[in-house]
Amino acid sequence: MNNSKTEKELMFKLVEVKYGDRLDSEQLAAIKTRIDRIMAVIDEIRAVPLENGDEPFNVFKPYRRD
Amino acid sequence: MIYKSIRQLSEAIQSGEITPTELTQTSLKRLEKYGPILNCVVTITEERALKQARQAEAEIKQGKYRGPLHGIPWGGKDLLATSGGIPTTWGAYPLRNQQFTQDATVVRRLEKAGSVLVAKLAMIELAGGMGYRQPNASFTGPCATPWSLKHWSGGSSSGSGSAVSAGLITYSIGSETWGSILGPSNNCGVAGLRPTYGRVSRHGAMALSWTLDKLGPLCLTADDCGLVLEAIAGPDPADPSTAPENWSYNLNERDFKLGIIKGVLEEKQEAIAQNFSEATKTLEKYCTIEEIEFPDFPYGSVTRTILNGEAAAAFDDFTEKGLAAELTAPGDKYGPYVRSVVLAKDYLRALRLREKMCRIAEDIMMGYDAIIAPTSSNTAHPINQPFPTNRPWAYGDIMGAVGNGAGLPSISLPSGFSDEGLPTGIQIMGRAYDENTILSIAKMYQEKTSWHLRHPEMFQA
Repeated sequence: MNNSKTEKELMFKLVEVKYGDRLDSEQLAAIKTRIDRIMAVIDEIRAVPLENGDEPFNVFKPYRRD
Repeated sequence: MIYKSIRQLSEAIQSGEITPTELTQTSLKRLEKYGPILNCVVTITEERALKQARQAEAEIKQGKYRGPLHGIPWGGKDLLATSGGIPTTWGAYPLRNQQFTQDATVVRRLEKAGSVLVAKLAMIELAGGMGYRQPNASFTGPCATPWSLKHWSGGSSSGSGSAVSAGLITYSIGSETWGSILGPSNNCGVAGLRPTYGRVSRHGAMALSWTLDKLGPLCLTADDCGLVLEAIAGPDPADPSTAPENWSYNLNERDFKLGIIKGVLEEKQEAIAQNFSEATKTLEKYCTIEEIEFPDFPYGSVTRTILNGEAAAAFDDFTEKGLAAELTAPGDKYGPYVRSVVLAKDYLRALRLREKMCRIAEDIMMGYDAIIAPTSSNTAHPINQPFPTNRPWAYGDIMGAVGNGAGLPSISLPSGFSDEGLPTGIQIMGRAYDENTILSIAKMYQEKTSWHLRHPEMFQA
Protein backbone atom coordinates (compact mmCIF):
# COMPACT_ATOMS: atom_id res chain seq x y z
CA MET A 1 0.00 0.00 0.00
CA ASN A 2 1.47 3.39 -0.90
CA ASN A 3 1.40 6.45 1.27
CA SER A 4 -1.29 8.68 -0.02
CA LYS A 5 -0.76 12.36 -0.60
CA THR A 6 -3.15 12.80 2.34
CA GLU A 7 -0.94 10.90 4.73
CA LYS A 8 2.13 12.93 3.75
CA GLU A 9 0.15 16.13 4.16
CA LEU A 10 -1.08 15.00 7.55
CA MET A 11 2.44 14.13 8.64
CA PHE A 12 3.68 17.52 7.56
CA LYS A 13 0.75 19.14 9.36
CA LEU A 14 1.69 17.25 12.52
CA VAL A 15 5.21 18.67 12.38
CA GLU A 16 3.93 22.12 11.52
CA VAL A 17 1.42 22.18 14.37
CA LYS A 18 3.85 20.84 16.95
CA TYR A 19 6.98 22.72 15.97
CA GLY A 20 5.98 25.41 13.49
CA ASP A 21 6.63 28.22 15.98
CA ARG A 22 10.34 27.25 15.97
CA LEU A 23 10.75 27.04 12.23
CA ASP A 24 10.85 29.52 9.38
CA SER A 25 9.19 29.00 5.99
CA GLU A 26 12.41 27.78 4.36
CA GLN A 27 12.91 25.15 7.04
CA LEU A 28 9.29 24.02 6.77
CA ALA A 29 9.68 23.64 3.01
CA ALA A 30 12.81 21.55 3.54
CA ILE A 31 10.98 19.46 6.12
CA LYS A 32 8.23 18.77 3.60
CA THR A 33 10.84 17.41 1.16
CA ARG A 34 12.43 15.28 3.83
CA ILE A 35 9.07 13.92 4.91
CA ASP A 36 8.44 12.85 1.32
CA ARG A 37 11.71 10.97 1.44
CA ILE A 38 11.03 9.28 4.77
CA MET A 39 7.55 8.29 3.66
CA ALA A 40 8.97 6.80 0.44
CA VAL A 41 11.27 4.69 2.60
CA ILE A 42 8.37 3.64 4.81
CA ASP A 43 6.31 2.83 1.72
CA GLU A 44 8.97 0.31 0.75
CA ILE A 45 8.84 -1.56 4.02
CA ARG A 46 5.04 -1.46 4.15
CA ALA A 47 5.00 -3.16 0.75
CA VAL A 48 6.65 -6.33 2.10
CA PRO A 49 3.98 -8.73 3.34
CA LEU A 50 4.32 -10.01 6.88
CA GLU A 51 2.39 -12.52 8.95
CA ASN A 52 1.29 -12.39 12.54
CA GLY A 53 4.09 -14.80 13.48
CA ASP A 54 6.83 -12.50 12.13
CA GLU A 55 8.11 -11.01 15.35
CA PRO A 56 10.41 -8.03 15.84
CA PHE A 57 14.04 -9.10 16.01
CA ASN A 58 14.43 -7.87 19.58
CA VAL A 59 13.89 -10.34 22.35
CA PHE A 60 12.46 -8.93 25.56
CA LYS A 61 13.55 -10.75 28.69
CA PRO A 62 11.94 -9.86 32.03
CA TYR A 63 14.49 -8.43 34.42
CA ARG A 64 15.38 -9.96 37.71
CA ARG A 65 18.23 -8.74 39.86
CA ASP A 66 19.12 -12.02 41.63
CA MET B 1 58.12 7.28 16.84
CA ILE B 2 55.53 8.76 14.51
CA TYR B 3 53.63 6.36 12.27
CA LYS B 4 54.72 3.27 14.15
CA SER B 5 52.38 0.37 14.73
CA ILE B 6 51.28 -0.70 18.20
CA ARG B 7 53.61 -3.72 18.11
CA GLN B 8 56.56 -1.55 17.09
CA LEU B 9 55.87 0.96 19.84
CA SER B 10 55.25 -1.79 22.35
CA GLU B 11 58.67 -3.29 21.61
CA ALA B 12 60.29 0.12 21.83
CA ILE B 13 58.65 0.77 25.20
CA GLN B 14 59.60 -2.62 26.58
CA SER B 15 63.20 -2.25 25.42
CA GLY B 16 63.44 1.22 26.89
CA GLU B 17 64.11 2.83 23.52
CA ILE B 18 61.26 5.20 24.31
CA THR B 19 59.26 5.86 27.45
CA PRO B 20 55.48 6.24 27.67
CA THR B 21 56.00 9.81 28.84
CA GLU B 22 58.16 10.67 25.81
CA LEU B 23 55.64 9.07 23.48
CA THR B 24 52.78 10.88 25.16
CA GLN B 25 54.56 14.23 25.05
CA THR B 26 55.24 13.77 21.35
CA SER B 27 51.58 13.03 20.79
CA LEU B 28 50.44 16.01 22.88
CA LYS B 29 52.75 18.38 20.99
CA ARG B 30 51.55 17.12 17.63
CA LEU B 31 47.92 17.40 18.72
CA GLU B 32 48.52 21.00 19.72
CA LYS B 33 50.35 21.81 16.52
CA TYR B 34 48.23 20.00 13.95
CA GLY B 35 44.89 19.54 15.67
CA PRO B 36 43.65 23.06 14.84
CA ILE B 37 44.81 22.76 11.22
CA LEU B 38 42.72 19.62 10.76
CA ASN B 39 39.90 20.56 13.18
CA CYS B 40 40.25 17.02 14.51
CA VAL B 41 40.51 17.72 18.25
CA VAL B 42 37.93 18.90 20.77
CA THR B 43 39.92 18.57 24.00
CA ILE B 44 43.54 17.66 24.63
CA THR B 45 43.51 15.70 27.89
CA GLU B 46 47.06 16.66 28.89
CA GLU B 47 46.81 16.30 32.65
CA ARG B 48 45.18 12.90 32.54
CA ALA B 49 47.52 11.76 29.78
CA LEU B 50 50.71 12.66 31.63
CA LYS B 51 49.43 11.04 34.80
CA GLN B 52 48.59 7.84 32.92
CA ALA B 53 51.92 7.94 31.08
CA ARG B 54 53.91 8.28 34.31
CA GLN B 55 51.95 5.47 35.88
CA ALA B 56 52.60 3.28 32.84
CA GLU B 57 56.29 4.10 33.01
CA ALA B 58 56.51 3.23 36.70
CA GLU B 59 54.65 -0.05 36.24
CA ILE B 60 56.75 -1.13 33.29
CA LYS B 61 59.95 -0.36 35.20
CA GLN B 62 58.65 -2.61 37.97
CA GLY B 63 58.04 -5.38 35.47
CA LYS B 64 54.27 -5.02 35.53
CA TYR B 65 53.62 -4.98 31.80
CA ARG B 66 49.92 -4.95 30.99
CA GLY B 67 50.14 -5.76 27.31
CA PRO B 68 50.70 -4.20 23.90
CA LEU B 69 48.65 -1.06 24.64
CA HIS B 70 50.59 -0.21 27.80
CA GLY B 71 51.88 3.34 27.47
CA ILE B 72 50.38 3.85 24.00
CA PRO B 73 48.55 7.16 23.31
CA TRP B 74 44.98 7.05 22.00
CA GLY B 75 42.14 9.41 21.27
CA GLY B 76 38.41 8.90 21.77
CA LYS B 77 35.54 10.14 19.67
CA ASP B 78 33.90 12.82 21.77
CA LEU B 79 30.80 10.76 22.45
CA LEU B 80 32.69 8.58 24.92
CA ALA B 81 32.05 9.75 28.46
CA THR B 82 35.18 10.78 30.32
CA SER B 83 35.21 11.73 33.98
CA GLY B 84 37.38 14.19 35.83
CA GLY B 85 36.05 17.39 34.35
CA ILE B 86 36.88 16.49 30.74
CA PRO B 87 33.95 17.64 28.59
CA THR B 88 32.07 15.14 26.41
CA THR B 89 30.46 17.39 23.84
CA TRP B 90 28.92 14.98 21.31
CA GLY B 91 30.16 17.50 18.72
CA ALA B 92 27.19 19.71 19.50
CA TYR B 93 27.38 23.39 20.42
CA PRO B 94 24.56 23.23 23.01
CA LEU B 95 26.42 20.40 24.77
CA ARG B 96 29.91 21.94 24.56
CA ASN B 97 30.26 21.99 28.35
CA GLN B 98 28.59 18.64 29.05
CA GLN B 99 30.42 16.53 31.59
CA PHE B 100 29.95 13.06 33.02
CA THR B 101 31.08 11.73 36.36
CA GLN B 102 32.00 8.28 35.09
CA ASP B 103 34.08 6.96 32.23
CA ALA B 104 32.50 4.93 29.45
CA THR B 105 33.27 1.21 29.68
CA VAL B 106 35.60 1.42 26.66
CA VAL B 107 37.55 4.22 28.33
CA ARG B 108 37.88 2.17 31.54
CA ARG B 109 39.02 -0.91 29.63
CA LEU B 110 41.69 1.02 27.78
CA GLU B 111 42.87 2.52 31.05
CA LYS B 112 43.05 -1.00 32.47
CA ALA B 113 45.17 -1.95 29.44
CA GLY B 114 47.52 0.87 30.38
CA SER B 115 46.80 3.00 27.35
CA VAL B 116 47.10 6.79 27.59
CA LEU B 117 44.14 9.01 26.68
CA VAL B 118 45.56 12.13 25.00
CA ALA B 119 42.51 13.66 23.34
CA LYS B 120 38.77 13.75 22.79
CA LEU B 121 38.30 13.84 19.08
CA ALA B 122 36.06 15.83 16.79
CA MET B 123 32.87 14.33 15.50
CA ILE B 124 29.83 15.31 13.50
CA GLU B 125 27.28 16.74 15.92
CA LEU B 126 25.21 14.01 17.53
CA ALA B 127 26.99 11.47 15.32
CA GLY B 128 25.14 12.70 12.26
CA GLY B 129 21.81 11.78 13.73
CA MET B 130 20.10 14.99 12.66
CA GLY B 131 20.71 14.26 8.97
CA TYR B 132 23.56 16.60 8.11
CA ARG B 133 24.15 17.62 4.50
CA GLN B 134 27.66 19.11 4.52
CA PRO B 135 31.06 18.58 6.14
CA ASN B 136 30.65 21.63 8.37
CA ALA B 137 28.39 19.94 10.89
CA SER B 138 30.28 20.22 14.14
CA PHE B 139 30.87 23.10 16.52
CA THR B 140 34.60 22.48 16.11
CA GLY B 141 34.38 23.14 12.37
CA PRO B 142 34.70 20.83 9.37
CA CYS B 143 37.40 18.20 9.86
CA ALA B 144 39.93 17.66 7.07
CA THR B 145 41.60 14.54 5.83
CA PRO B 146 45.37 14.89 6.31
CA TRP B 147 45.75 13.98 2.62
CA SER B 148 44.20 17.28 1.55
CA LEU B 149 43.06 20.14 3.75
CA LYS B 150 40.52 20.98 1.04
CA HIS B 151 38.77 17.64 1.52
CA TRP B 152 36.63 16.23 4.29
CA SER B 153 37.81 13.57 6.71
CA GLY B 154 34.48 11.80 6.53
CA GLY B 155 32.16 11.30 9.47
CA SER B 156 30.82 11.03 11.91
CA SER B 157 34.07 9.75 13.51
CA SER B 158 35.87 12.61 11.78
CA GLY B 159 38.68 13.30 14.23
CA SER B 160 39.15 9.60 14.92
CA GLY B 161 40.19 9.06 11.30
CA SER B 162 42.04 12.32 10.81
CA ALA B 163 44.19 12.21 13.97
CA VAL B 164 45.42 8.66 13.27
CA SER B 165 46.14 9.47 9.63
CA ALA B 166 48.15 12.55 10.63
CA GLY B 167 50.20 10.55 13.13
CA LEU B 168 48.97 12.57 16.11
CA ILE B 169 47.92 9.47 18.03
CA THR B 170 48.58 5.77 17.62
CA TYR B 171 44.95 4.72 17.46
CA SER B 172 41.48 6.00 18.13
CA ILE B 173 38.07 4.74 19.08
CA GLY B 174 35.20 5.76 16.82
CA SER B 175 31.63 4.65 16.44
CA GLU B 176 29.46 3.54 13.56
CA THR B 177 25.70 3.54 13.21
CA TRP B 178 25.89 3.55 9.41
CA GLY B 179 29.24 4.45 7.84
CA SER B 180 30.84 6.44 10.64
CA ILE B 181 33.95 4.28 11.15
CA LEU B 182 34.35 3.04 7.59
CA GLY B 183 33.78 6.45 5.96
CA PRO B 184 36.56 8.30 7.83
CA SER B 185 38.82 5.26 7.39
CA ASN B 186 38.30 5.52 3.63
CA ASN B 187 38.80 9.27 3.45
CA CYS B 188 41.82 9.33 5.75
CA GLY B 189 43.55 6.21 4.42
CA VAL B 190 43.61 4.25 7.68
CA ALA B 191 42.31 0.90 8.88
CA GLY B 192 38.95 1.03 10.64
CA LEU B 193 37.14 -1.88 12.22
CA ARG B 194 33.42 -1.94 12.81
CA PRO B 195 32.93 -4.94 15.12
CA THR B 196 29.87 -7.14 15.35
CA TYR B 197 27.03 -5.37 17.15
CA GLY B 198 27.38 -6.23 20.83
CA ARG B 199 31.06 -7.12 20.65
CA VAL B 200 31.99 -3.88 22.43
CA SER B 201 30.03 -2.29 25.25
CA ARG B 202 28.20 0.92 24.39
CA HIS B 203 27.84 1.90 28.04
CA GLY B 204 28.83 5.52 28.47
CA ALA B 205 28.78 6.27 24.74
CA MET B 206 26.17 8.62 23.31
CA ALA B 207 23.38 6.63 21.71
CA LEU B 208 22.18 7.55 18.25
CA SER B 209 20.46 4.25 17.54
CA TRP B 210 20.51 1.63 20.26
CA THR B 211 20.38 -1.38 17.96
CA LEU B 212 22.70 0.01 15.28
CA ASP B 213 25.53 1.72 17.23
CA LYS B 214 28.91 -0.01 17.39
CA LEU B 215 32.23 1.23 18.86
CA GLY B 216 35.46 0.25 17.14
CA PRO B 217 39.11 1.16 16.52
CA LEU B 218 40.72 3.23 13.78
CA CYS B 219 44.44 2.48 13.42
CA LEU B 220 47.33 2.48 11.00
CA THR B 221 46.98 -1.26 10.38
CA ALA B 222 44.52 -4.12 10.57
CA ASP B 223 46.78 -5.83 13.10
CA ASP B 224 46.54 -2.79 15.36
CA CYS B 225 42.75 -2.98 15.07
CA GLY B 226 42.87 -6.57 16.35
CA LEU B 227 45.03 -5.62 19.32
CA VAL B 228 42.76 -2.74 20.30
CA LEU B 229 39.58 -4.76 19.85
CA GLU B 230 40.91 -7.41 22.21
CA ALA B 231 41.32 -4.76 24.91
CA ILE B 232 37.83 -3.31 24.57
CA ALA B 233 35.68 -6.32 23.64
CA GLY B 234 33.74 -8.48 26.04
CA PRO B 235 30.53 -8.73 28.04
CA ASP B 236 29.47 -5.79 30.20
CA PRO B 237 26.63 -6.03 32.70
CA ALA B 238 26.09 -2.30 32.18
CA ASP B 239 25.22 -2.97 28.51
CA PRO B 240 22.83 -5.92 28.17
CA SER B 241 23.31 -5.95 24.39
CA THR B 242 26.91 -7.12 24.72
CA ALA B 243 27.72 -10.62 23.54
CA PRO B 244 28.21 -12.99 26.51
CA GLU B 245 31.53 -14.36 25.26
CA ASN B 246 34.94 -12.82 25.71
CA TRP B 247 36.97 -12.30 22.56
CA SER B 248 40.62 -12.97 21.78
CA TYR B 249 42.54 -11.80 18.76
CA ASN B 250 43.63 -14.94 16.92
CA LEU B 251 44.88 -14.85 13.35
CA ASN B 252 44.35 -17.68 10.92
CA GLU B 253 46.53 -17.91 7.83
CA ARG B 254 44.82 -20.00 5.19
CA ASP B 255 43.07 -19.64 1.86
CA PHE B 256 39.78 -17.81 2.08
CA LYS B 257 36.62 -17.68 0.00
CA LEU B 258 35.24 -14.22 -0.71
CA GLY B 259 32.09 -12.95 -2.35
CA ILE B 260 31.62 -9.78 -4.39
CA ILE B 261 28.06 -8.53 -4.81
CA LYS B 262 27.07 -8.29 -8.46
CA GLY B 263 27.07 -4.69 -9.62
CA VAL B 264 29.08 -3.44 -6.64
CA LEU B 265 31.21 -1.20 -8.86
CA GLU B 266 28.27 0.51 -10.51
CA GLU B 267 28.16 4.25 -9.95
CA LYS B 268 31.52 4.26 -8.23
CA GLN B 269 34.16 6.90 -8.93
CA GLU B 270 36.75 5.66 -11.42
CA ALA B 271 39.64 5.57 -8.95
CA ILE B 272 37.51 3.65 -6.46
CA ALA B 273 36.59 1.03 -9.05
CA GLN B 274 40.10 0.79 -10.44
CA ASN B 275 41.78 0.41 -7.06
CA PHE B 276 39.18 -2.13 -5.98
CA SER B 277 39.92 -4.21 -9.07
CA GLU B 278 43.63 -4.09 -8.27
CA ALA B 279 42.88 -5.07 -4.68
CA THR B 280 40.92 -8.11 -5.83
CA LYS B 281 43.93 -9.23 -7.89
CA THR B 282 46.00 -9.10 -4.70
CA LEU B 283 43.35 -10.97 -2.75
CA GLU B 284 43.16 -13.64 -5.46
CA LYS B 285 46.69 -14.69 -4.48
CA TYR B 286 45.22 -16.32 -1.37
CA CYS B 287 41.47 -16.16 -1.83
CA THR B 288 38.90 -17.63 -4.16
CA ILE B 289 36.54 -14.85 -5.24
CA GLU B 290 33.04 -15.39 -6.61
CA GLU B 291 30.26 -13.11 -7.64
CA ILE B 292 27.18 -13.27 -5.44
CA GLU B 293 23.77 -11.75 -5.57
CA PHE B 294 21.41 -10.52 -2.90
CA PRO B 295 17.71 -10.97 -3.61
CA ASP B 296 15.48 -7.98 -4.08
CA PHE B 297 14.55 -6.67 -0.63
CA PRO B 298 14.32 -3.17 0.86
CA TYR B 299 17.54 -3.50 2.87
CA GLY B 300 18.21 0.23 2.96
CA SER B 301 14.68 1.15 3.92
CA VAL B 302 14.62 -1.37 6.76
CA THR B 303 17.85 -0.11 8.28
CA ARG B 304 16.95 3.53 7.67
CA THR B 305 13.55 3.20 9.35
CA ILE B 306 15.20 1.60 12.38
CA LEU B 307 17.72 4.42 12.47
CA ASN B 308 15.06 7.11 12.04
CA GLY B 309 12.79 5.68 14.74
CA GLU B 310 15.54 5.11 17.29
CA ALA B 311 17.25 8.44 16.62
CA ALA B 312 13.95 10.25 17.09
CA ALA B 313 13.53 8.59 20.47
CA ALA B 314 17.17 8.93 21.54
CA PHE B 315 17.10 12.69 20.98
CA ASP B 316 13.48 13.25 21.97
CA ASP B 317 14.30 15.41 24.99
CA PHE B 318 16.96 17.34 23.08
CA THR B 319 14.50 17.99 20.27
CA GLU B 320 11.55 18.94 22.46
CA LYS B 321 13.70 21.46 24.32
CA GLY B 322 14.43 23.15 21.00
CA LEU B 323 18.19 22.64 21.29
CA ALA B 324 18.48 21.67 17.63
CA ALA B 325 18.28 25.40 16.80
CA GLU B 326 21.80 25.79 18.24
CA LEU B 327 23.38 23.07 16.12
CA THR B 328 25.90 23.98 13.43
CA ALA B 329 24.60 22.44 10.19
CA PRO B 330 21.57 24.30 8.82
CA GLY B 331 19.78 21.03 8.10
CA ASP B 332 20.39 19.76 11.62
CA LYS B 333 18.42 22.68 13.04
CA TYR B 334 15.20 21.19 11.69
CA GLY B 335 16.19 17.61 10.83
CA PRO B 336 15.02 16.00 14.08
CA TYR B 337 11.45 17.21 13.63
CA VAL B 338 11.12 15.19 10.46
CA ARG B 339 11.47 11.95 12.34
CA SER B 340 8.24 12.58 14.22
CA VAL B 341 6.51 10.97 11.25
CA VAL B 342 7.91 7.50 11.91
CA LEU B 343 4.98 5.68 13.45
CA ALA B 344 5.58 3.01 16.08
CA LYS B 345 4.03 0.35 13.89
CA ASP B 346 6.38 1.23 11.03
CA TYR B 347 9.42 1.09 13.29
CA LEU B 348 8.26 -2.31 14.53
CA ARG B 349 7.65 -3.39 10.96
CA ALA B 350 11.26 -2.57 10.23
CA LEU B 351 12.33 -4.69 13.21
CA ARG B 352 10.23 -7.58 11.91
CA LEU B 353 11.82 -7.22 8.47
CA ARG B 354 15.23 -7.04 10.10
CA GLU B 355 14.91 -10.70 11.03
CA LYS B 356 14.33 -11.59 7.39
CA MET B 357 17.25 -9.43 6.31
CA CYS B 358 19.56 -11.13 8.79
CA ARG B 359 18.54 -14.56 7.53
CA ILE B 360 19.00 -13.54 3.88
CA ALA B 361 22.48 -12.25 4.68
CA GLU B 362 23.46 -15.34 6.67
CA ASP B 363 22.11 -17.75 4.03
CA ILE B 364 24.34 -16.07 1.43
CA MET B 365 27.36 -15.47 3.60
CA MET B 366 27.49 -18.98 5.09
CA GLY B 367 29.14 -20.06 1.87
CA TYR B 368 31.92 -17.49 2.22
CA ASP B 369 34.45 -16.21 4.68
CA ALA B 370 33.62 -12.61 3.85
CA ILE B 371 32.17 -10.23 1.27
CA ILE B 372 34.36 -7.51 -0.18
CA ALA B 373 33.46 -4.17 -1.72
CA PRO B 374 34.85 -0.67 -2.05
CA THR B 375 34.44 1.06 1.30
CA SER B 376 32.88 4.11 -0.32
CA SER B 377 31.54 5.20 -3.70
CA ASN B 378 33.79 8.24 -3.70
CA THR B 379 37.02 9.65 -2.37
CA ALA B 380 36.86 12.44 0.21
CA HIS B 381 34.30 15.13 -0.54
CA PRO B 382 35.37 18.81 -0.88
CA ILE B 383 35.27 20.33 2.59
CA ASN B 384 33.39 23.48 1.68
CA GLN B 385 30.61 22.00 -0.43
CA PRO B 386 27.29 20.44 0.50
CA PHE B 387 26.84 16.75 -0.24
CA PRO B 388 25.00 15.72 -3.40
CA THR B 389 21.26 15.35 -2.80
CA ASN B 390 21.43 11.58 -3.00
CA ARG B 391 24.44 10.86 -0.87
CA PRO B 392 26.00 7.76 -2.41
CA TRP B 393 27.00 6.44 0.99
CA ALA B 394 23.49 6.81 2.35
CA TYR B 395 21.33 5.46 -0.42
CA GLY B 396 21.87 2.38 -2.55
CA ASP B 397 24.51 1.19 -0.11
CA ILE B 398 23.65 -2.48 0.30
CA MET B 399 26.87 -3.27 2.19
CA GLY B 400 26.09 -0.53 4.68
CA ALA B 401 22.40 -1.35 4.95
CA VAL B 402 22.93 -5.07 5.46
CA GLY B 403 26.16 -4.73 7.38
CA ASN B 404 24.75 -2.33 9.91
CA GLY B 405 21.16 -3.57 9.92
CA ALA B 406 22.34 -7.12 10.58
CA GLY B 407 25.12 -6.01 12.95
CA LEU B 408 27.94 -7.57 10.92
CA PRO B 409 31.64 -6.79 11.35
CA SER B 410 33.60 -5.03 8.62
CA ILE B 411 37.09 -3.63 8.25
CA SER B 412 38.18 -0.91 5.85
CA LEU B 413 41.75 -0.83 4.58
CA PRO B 414 43.53 1.65 2.32
CA SER B 415 43.60 0.31 -1.24
CA GLY B 416 45.35 3.07 -3.16
CA PHE B 417 44.93 6.68 -4.22
CA SER B 418 43.06 8.72 -6.78
CA ASP B 419 44.77 10.99 -9.30
CA GLU B 420 44.14 13.83 -6.85
CA GLY B 421 46.12 11.96 -4.19
CA LEU B 422 43.08 11.06 -2.11
CA PRO B 423 42.91 7.61 -0.50
CA THR B 424 40.53 4.86 -1.51
CA GLY B 425 39.47 1.93 0.63
CA ILE B 426 38.37 -1.67 0.41
CA GLN B 427 36.07 -3.22 2.99
CA ILE B 428 35.97 -6.83 4.10
CA MET B 429 32.69 -7.73 5.79
CA GLY B 430 32.25 -10.97 7.68
CA ARG B 431 29.53 -13.01 9.27
CA ALA B 432 28.43 -12.11 12.75
CA TYR B 433 31.21 -12.60 15.33
CA ASP B 434 33.84 -13.40 12.65
CA GLU B 435 36.21 -10.54 13.47
CA ASN B 436 39.20 -12.90 13.49
CA THR B 437 38.38 -14.05 9.96
CA ILE B 438 38.18 -10.56 8.50
CA LEU B 439 41.24 -9.46 10.46
CA SER B 440 43.17 -12.45 9.09
CA ILE B 441 42.19 -11.61 5.51
CA ALA B 442 43.01 -7.96 6.14
CA LYS B 443 46.42 -8.65 7.68
CA MET B 444 47.39 -10.89 4.80
CA TYR B 445 46.30 -8.17 2.35
CA GLN B 446 48.48 -5.64 4.13
CA GLU B 447 51.44 -8.03 4.05
CA LYS B 448 51.12 -8.03 0.25
CA THR B 449 50.50 -4.30 -0.20
CA SER B 450 52.08 -1.12 1.12
CA TRP B 451 49.25 1.44 1.00
CA HIS B 452 49.12 1.52 4.80
CA LEU B 453 52.78 2.52 4.91
CA ARG B 454 52.19 5.73 3.00
CA HIS B 455 51.51 8.81 5.09
CA PRO B 456 50.58 12.39 4.25
CA GLU B 457 53.74 14.41 3.71
CA MET B 458 52.58 17.50 5.58
CA PHE B 459 52.51 15.62 8.90
CA GLN B 460 55.67 13.56 8.72
CA ALA B 461 57.69 15.96 10.84
